[in-house]
Amino acid sequence: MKWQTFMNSVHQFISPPVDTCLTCNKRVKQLNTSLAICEECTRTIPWIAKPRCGVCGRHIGCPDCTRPAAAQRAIVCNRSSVAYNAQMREWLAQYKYRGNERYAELLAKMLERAYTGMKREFTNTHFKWKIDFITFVPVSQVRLSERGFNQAEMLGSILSRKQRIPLIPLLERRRHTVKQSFKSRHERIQDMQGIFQLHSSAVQRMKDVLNSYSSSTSPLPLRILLVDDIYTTGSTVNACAHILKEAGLSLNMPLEVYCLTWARS
Amino acid sequence: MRAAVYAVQCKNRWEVRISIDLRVDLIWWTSGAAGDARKIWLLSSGMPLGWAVKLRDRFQAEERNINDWTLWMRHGLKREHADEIEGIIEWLVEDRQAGLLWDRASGWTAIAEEQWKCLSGVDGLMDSDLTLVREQQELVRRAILIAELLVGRSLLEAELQQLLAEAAPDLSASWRTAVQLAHLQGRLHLTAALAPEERGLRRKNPRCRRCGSELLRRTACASCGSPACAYCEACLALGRSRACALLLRTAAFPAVHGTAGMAPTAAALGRWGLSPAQREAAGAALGFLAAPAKRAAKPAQFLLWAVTGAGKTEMIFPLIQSILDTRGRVLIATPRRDVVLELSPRIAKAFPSETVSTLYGGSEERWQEGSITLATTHQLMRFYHAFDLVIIDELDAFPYHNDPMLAFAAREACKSDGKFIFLSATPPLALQREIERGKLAHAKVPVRFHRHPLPVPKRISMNSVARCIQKRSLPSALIEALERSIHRGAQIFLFVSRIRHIDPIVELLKQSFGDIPIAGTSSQDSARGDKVLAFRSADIRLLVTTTILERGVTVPRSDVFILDADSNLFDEASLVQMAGRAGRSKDDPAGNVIFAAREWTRSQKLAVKQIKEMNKIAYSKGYLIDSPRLK
Ligand SMILES: [Zn+2]
Ligand SMILES: [Zn+2]
Ligand SMILES: [Zn+2]
Ligand SMILES: [Zn+2]
Repeated sequence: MKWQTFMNSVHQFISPPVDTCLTCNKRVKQLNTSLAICEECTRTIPWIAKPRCGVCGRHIGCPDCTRPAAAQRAIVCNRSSVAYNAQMREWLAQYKYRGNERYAELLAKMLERAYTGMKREFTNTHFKWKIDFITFVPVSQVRLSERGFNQAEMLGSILSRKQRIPLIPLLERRRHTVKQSFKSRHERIQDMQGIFQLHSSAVQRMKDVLNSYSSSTSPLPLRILLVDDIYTTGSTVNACAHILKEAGLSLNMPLEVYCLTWARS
Repeated sequence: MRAAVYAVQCKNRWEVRISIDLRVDLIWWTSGAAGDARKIWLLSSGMPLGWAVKLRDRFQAEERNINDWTLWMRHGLKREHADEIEGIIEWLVEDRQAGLLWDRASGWTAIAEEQWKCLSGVDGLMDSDLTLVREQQELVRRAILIAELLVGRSLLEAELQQLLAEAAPDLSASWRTAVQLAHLQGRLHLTAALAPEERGLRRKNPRCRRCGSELLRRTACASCGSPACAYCEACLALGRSRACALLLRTAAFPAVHGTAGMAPTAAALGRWGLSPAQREAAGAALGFLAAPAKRAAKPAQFLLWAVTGAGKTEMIFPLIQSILDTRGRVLIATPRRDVVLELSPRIAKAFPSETVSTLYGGSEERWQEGSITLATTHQLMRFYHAFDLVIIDELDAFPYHNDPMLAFAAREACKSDGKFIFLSATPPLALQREIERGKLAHAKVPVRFHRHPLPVPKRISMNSVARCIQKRSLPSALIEALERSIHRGAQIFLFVSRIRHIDPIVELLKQSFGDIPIAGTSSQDSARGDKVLAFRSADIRLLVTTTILERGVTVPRSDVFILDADSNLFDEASLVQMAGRAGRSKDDPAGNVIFAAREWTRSQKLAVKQIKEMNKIAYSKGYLIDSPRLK
C-alpha cells in the first residue's frame, strides 16, 4: 500500500500533467484557460451573445415582454449568460441538487461574461453605466439548511469579489412555495406577491451605500444588480425588484434594478 | 445539521450523548426508564453534527472524569480544520445555553425550560411532536417502526425521508423525534457521514463513512454554520455526504450460514439441472457457505472462476437457496446495469416465492426490501451489515475493478461474519496470485455448458490498423480469413483498439466485402443498442467495435477477430473476454478466434495459455463431450 502510494506520486511526477474536466470527467492535456473545463465542453456552451429581446434578454423572439401587463415590470431588464438547454440544465443540477460546489466557480465565470456584456451594452460616450451594489434572490431557511448554500448568493458573491462591487443581502424569503413547474403562469405571479420581504438590516445598508458617496457626485438613481441562477418568467426577480423599489421610494432613494441571471429558459 | 450535545451522569459514570430532539432525551433520562440518571449537563444546544459526534466518540474512547466541560470540548475539537477553529472557540465561550439541565435532587433548571420552549417550533421540530412526546405509547410505536425500516441500512437524512415517504408517510413529519427515541433505545446508531481524522498509532485521514473515500472538499455550510464544512466528492451521485450530515445505521444481527453445518448434499444440487462441471463447483461453494465463519477482519471470500459461457447464473441458484433456507438475505451485485436487468427476471423465475428487489440508478424499487437483492455496486452504499451472502458478478468489469469506493461499499454491505462469493471468467491478477499462494478458496468451471472446448485463438501477422488505414488496404491473410468466416455463415465480431479506427476500417471492409451488411459501433454511438440487435438477428453480418462489447453480448454462430491484438489497451482479461464471444451456442460450439497483430505480446500469450489450460482441465476431468469418460 505504502509502496503503491509512493509509486503513484512518482508516476505523477514523470507523466505529463493531465487534468480532469469538471463537466465531462474526461482526462485532457489542457483545459480552457478562462473557464477551466475542456475545450470540447467549452464549445458546447450556448452563449447568448446578442439577446433578441432587449427587456428579458431572451435569445429568441418573446411574446411576454410586449404584453400590456409587462409594463408593470419592476426590473429595467434582464441579461443571461446562456440559453437553458439540456446540457446547461445538467450543469445546474450538478451544482444545485447534487451539491457539487466546484461548479460555483465555473457558473460565476460564465455569469461574469454576461455582466461585462451588459456593461458594454449600457455604457456609451455620454454615460458610464455603473452598478452600486449586488444583491441576490434569497431561498427559504428550510431549503438553505437542506442544500447548505444559496446558489444565487454564491454566484453573486464570486462576481462581487471579481468585479469589486459590494454584495449586500437585502431580501428574505418568507415561506416555502410549491414547485413552480406545477403552476400556471397566472398562479405563479399571484403567488410571488408576499413571498419576499426586506432583510432587517437592508434599509441601513442601503443608506450606508448612499452615504459613502461624496455630495458632489450624484449617485442617484442607485443601480442594483439582482443575481439569480435562472430566469424563466421573470416573476421571481420582478417580485424582488418591487420590494426593493418600494423601499427605495420610502427612503427618497430612486432605484434601478438590473437583473443578471446565469441562464435564460 | 446541528445537534445538541450533553453529558448525563448515571451512578458515578458520565456519558456524552448527541441529540436531534433534546426533549426526548430529557424525558428518557428523567422518567426512570433508563435507570439511575443523576445529572444532565448541556454542553451545547446545537453544534455542527460532525463535531458533536466527534466529541461523543472521543468521550467513549477515553471515559475519564471531566472537571471543566468547556475546556474538554475545546481540547477535543482543536484538531479541526484551521478555518473552523476560530468559530469553535467563539462558539464554546459564548454558548449561554450550556450548563446544568437537571439534577435528581433539585429537578429542572431554567436552562432546561428555555431549551424546551426553544425546541418547539424550530428546525423541523413541530408543536405536534410535543404531543407525541407526551403520548409516549405512540412515540414508542414510531421509534420501533423506524428502526425496523432501517435494518441493514446506511442512509443519509434525505434518503431516510424518501424511504419514509414511500414506506411510512405518517412518520415523515416527526421523524426526528422518533429517530431520537430509537437511538436512545439502542436500536439505531446515529453518526456523521464523514469520519474525522484519527491521530496516534492507527493514523487515518478524514474520510467518508459511506464510500470510504478521502476525496473531500470544504465549503461554507448553511446547514451547520461551519465556514469550512467538508463534503465527499466521490459519492455525490448518491446524495451529498457531509461532515454535518446525519448518517443513520442499524445494529447488525449475526449472519446465518448456508444450510448450517451440513455437507452439501446431492439433493441441494439436484433440482437445478446442472452439468457435472457446474455441480462440482457449486458443491465446493456450498461447502464454503456451510463452514462456520472465522473471526476475521473481513468476511470470508470464495472465487468461482467460470469460463465464458459456463452458465454461472445457474450455478449461483443453489447457493442462494442455501442462504434462503436459513432465512438469510442474499445480495447479488454487479458493476453493470445491463447485467442487473438481465439477471432480474431469471432470478425471479428461479425463486418464485421470494421477493426480489432490483436496484440501480433510477430504478423504481429503491426502498423495497427483498430476501434477494439485485443491485449495481453503487447502490450498496445504502446498506450496512445487511447481507449474509454477497455475490459479486463480473468482479473484474468496469467500474468495480480498481475502484476502492465500490469494494468498500460491498464490504460494508456484508455482515462482518457474512460471506463473499466472486464470479469471474477473468479474475484480476491479485486474486489469481492469492489462488496460487493457496490463500483464496475457489472453484474453477473450466468448460462451457455445452461441454465443448473453448476455441483457441489463432494468430495472423499483420501491420498495425493505423498503417492499414494509411495505406488504404487490408492484408490478404486477414481478407482470406474473413472470407472463410463469411462463407461458413458466421456472424463476425471485429474488435479494434481505438474508437477513431472504427469508421475507416468499416470503409476498408466495405471495399472488400460489398455484398454483406457491415457496421461499426462504439461507446459514443447512440444507436449501439439497435445495432447490437441487428447483429443478433444477422441483419448486420460484420460488426466493428471496441472493448465495449467484450462482455455480455452473446450471438450464436459467431467468429471473433481482434485487430491490433498487441495493443496495450487489450490486456489478458480483455483478450479472453473477446475470444469468449465465439462458439457460444450448442449448434456451433467451435467458432474461430483470430488475434491479428504485428507482435506476439505477453498478454496474447497469457490469454492463449489461460484458454488452453482451461481446456486441459476440462479434458482431464472428463467434462468435455468427447473426452474419455472417467470412472
Ligand atoms: Zn469536458
Ligand atoms: Zn422579452
Ligand atoms: Zn455543515
Ligand atoms: Zn463518499
